[in-house]
Amino acid sequence: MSTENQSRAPATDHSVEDPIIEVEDTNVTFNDGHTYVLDDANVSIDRHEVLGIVGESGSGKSMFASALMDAIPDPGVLSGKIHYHPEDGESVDVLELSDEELRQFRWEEVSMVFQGAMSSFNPTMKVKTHFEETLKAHDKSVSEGLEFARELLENLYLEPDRVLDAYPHELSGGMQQRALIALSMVLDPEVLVMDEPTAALDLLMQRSILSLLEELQAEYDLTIVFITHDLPLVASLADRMAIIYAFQFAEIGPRDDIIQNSAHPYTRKLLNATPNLDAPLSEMQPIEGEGPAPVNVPSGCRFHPRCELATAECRTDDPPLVSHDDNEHRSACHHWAEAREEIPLNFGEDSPDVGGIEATSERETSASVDGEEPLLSLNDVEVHFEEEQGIVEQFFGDSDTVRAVDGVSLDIEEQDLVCLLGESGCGKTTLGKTMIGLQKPTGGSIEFRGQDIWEAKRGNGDISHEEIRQALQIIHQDPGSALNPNDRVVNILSEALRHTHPNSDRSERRARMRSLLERVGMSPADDFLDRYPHQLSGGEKQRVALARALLMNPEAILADEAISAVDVSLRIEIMDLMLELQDEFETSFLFISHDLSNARYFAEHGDGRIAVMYLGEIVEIGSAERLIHDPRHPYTEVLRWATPNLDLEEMDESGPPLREVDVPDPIDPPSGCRFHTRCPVAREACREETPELQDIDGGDGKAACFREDPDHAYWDSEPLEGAKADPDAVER
Amino acid sequence: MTRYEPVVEDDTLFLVADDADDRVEIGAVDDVVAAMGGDTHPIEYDEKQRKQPWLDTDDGVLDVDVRETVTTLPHTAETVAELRDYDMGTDRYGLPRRTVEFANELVDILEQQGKHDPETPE
Repeated sequence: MSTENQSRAPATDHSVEDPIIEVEDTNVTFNDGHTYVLDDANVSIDRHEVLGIVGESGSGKSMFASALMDAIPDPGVLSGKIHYHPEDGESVDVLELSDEELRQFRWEEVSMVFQGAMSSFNPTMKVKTHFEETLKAHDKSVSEGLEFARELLENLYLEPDRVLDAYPHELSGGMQQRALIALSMVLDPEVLVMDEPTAALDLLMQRSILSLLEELQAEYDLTIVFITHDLPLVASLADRMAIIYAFQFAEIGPRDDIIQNSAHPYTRKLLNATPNLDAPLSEMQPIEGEGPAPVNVPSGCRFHPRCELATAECRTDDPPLVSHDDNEHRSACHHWAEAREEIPLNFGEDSPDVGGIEATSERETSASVDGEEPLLSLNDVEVHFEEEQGIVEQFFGDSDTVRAVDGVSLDIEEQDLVCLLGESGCGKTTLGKTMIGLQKPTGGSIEFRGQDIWEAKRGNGDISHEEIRQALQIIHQDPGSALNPNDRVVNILSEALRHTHPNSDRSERRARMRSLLERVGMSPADDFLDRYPHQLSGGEKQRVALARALLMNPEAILADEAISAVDVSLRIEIMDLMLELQDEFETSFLFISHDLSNARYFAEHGDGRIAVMYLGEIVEIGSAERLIHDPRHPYTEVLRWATPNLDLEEMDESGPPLREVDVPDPIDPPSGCRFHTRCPVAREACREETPELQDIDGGDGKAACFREDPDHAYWDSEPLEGAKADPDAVER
Repeated sequence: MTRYEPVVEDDTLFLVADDADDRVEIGAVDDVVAAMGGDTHPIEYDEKQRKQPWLDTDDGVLDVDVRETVTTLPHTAETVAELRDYDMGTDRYGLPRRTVEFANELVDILEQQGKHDPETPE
């Protein structure tokens, strides 16, 4: 192992015809040039293309983004050549620009929305002032610039007046991110670099923003460099794609080629490891091991320790990034031909038949198991957060109420698995917490094996509240914040054991902890028991949180976005672990996600159901296969659209099947069907009447949409403004 | 969407709805400022953030004038609803509970901006 760079053979990129940026022999080093965090980059960016750059966290992709603007954080050192070729004017080497030239170059020629940009607002300034300051700093006309800003905001589906007059904290995350995109474009740059710009947003907003970017790119002749860990996300937007592994470009080429005919084992494994709707579940495989740290880069091909095709040559010789087919597709692998042979892709033509709805489990998705009492039973559950009103509203009886959960009935059986799916703010976390007794409902009831949980809390139950509390556990989205940073793992787990095994002695407790840690894949357990949370990776923290929940001998575990913080290549491993443990410990699982592909993996492997939530209500429930292949509610169809997909034909489809990007205010939800303001096939009837959740014909589960009833007045009412007249526009 | 603007009457801060007859008392401005830790609140931006063209700071640190922020920043109806849950009479750290919770809310708004983690090379 060496921290010194082992030089690759030169691999100049001549694959583009009209480069706007040419990166040549470019490195970023730390530690006096001994540690490379970007190594020998040779990449050209074509004018007006979208180049998607994919890499896992810590792979060097953000360094590449910063290098394009000569904005490497201290004490990093950028070396090499970065030529910028404006359409009119002379080419420049960005690394040779003076400070003043660089100040103008940034934002006017090459602009960037970087990771953490959502925390770069001035919280005491209105959004409008952010635009004004940007224009003034670059000596541009403020009035003309603001006109352009309004146009940009409108193109990003925002109300310009409202957004310009708002302070950053008054906007949702999705609105802040779009305001940032408008800010990054207000100086009319040629190139927009986006570094994980949507990672903090839920999937539907991410996909909606990408779709808007595609429109902006066409309208303003932009060149976009989009950097992400999420391969299928950027695949929908990119013309070409590049894969970064361990601080080097491993592969670059036209998008379709990268997806269908990649020539690097890492790319092929990454494609196979990504949860998506096209791959058969049995074929999804995590990539064993982790990418190296910059101080611990392997010799030869950096991927060789994780590659089953590696030979002696791979351990000593760093393969150059070159074309093997005499075209613009380049990859850095000694065994590129074998990679294509030996690592079949689990989607598209290579994949075995995914199977249709017939393959769905025969388990009835909505009915309870005959004769057995459900583990948890929700009956018309409401969680409303009231807002007090002024004297006038009180007099007229108006009251502002956030209907976080509204009239939900659902049974969870013993060893059941239910995924709650929906956008941020749809009420899925509130419903999940209500299910396990952490949130008191304001209406309806929630029973644990027939015992009302809240009656038990008042001491009026056959089952004690303590027993119920122990039986219902939670794993949070961010395991770091759920584990006490000052406690070693041994103390974190001991606390749980003191509840379940109060009479066991120290050695018994330690033996239990050791065996469970080994079971959740943390081996050697003794090593991990003495660590503090900050000494664990994200995946390890989540395993500790899972072990702690299991030590309580729970009957049900609520996993709230529990894999969102885990790297993509590890997600399947953690999901598999949860499913195995569910079986072993005979628990039920309630899994909350905004990502249909993750929910699908869970629901299908665990023989469970997916419940789709929108503004506090369940709008559809059923098996994963039915929801994916035959969604009945237009909102389920929208979530299907937002889900990562490696089907090239579907990728090129137009924007979201939505009339509005943003979710309505939950304080004032729309009348009738709450989705009618965004639904592409909404009609007058949807505004006036509320659809009930009903059994559907020809499939499992239920849906709350008038289109399920062929005799409903919906069919004779007028389409709403912007809605499609043809009801078949949303294909079943 | 209702917005609550700060209004100061006899040194007492109220949040007043811009489109309805509704107001909520927050407490003495001096108490809010004290609960927020003093007259200035520094926000430190990381190296990338401080390159944003709208941020005009010499050393990447924005010193927010707390008193001005307390008396100018509007708030959402949701925030006001949460604040109402706290009693003005309840004593916490010697201050009314609602005053302290409002100060916490403002600190949260300020702390959403700026760098969150120590910078580490990728």
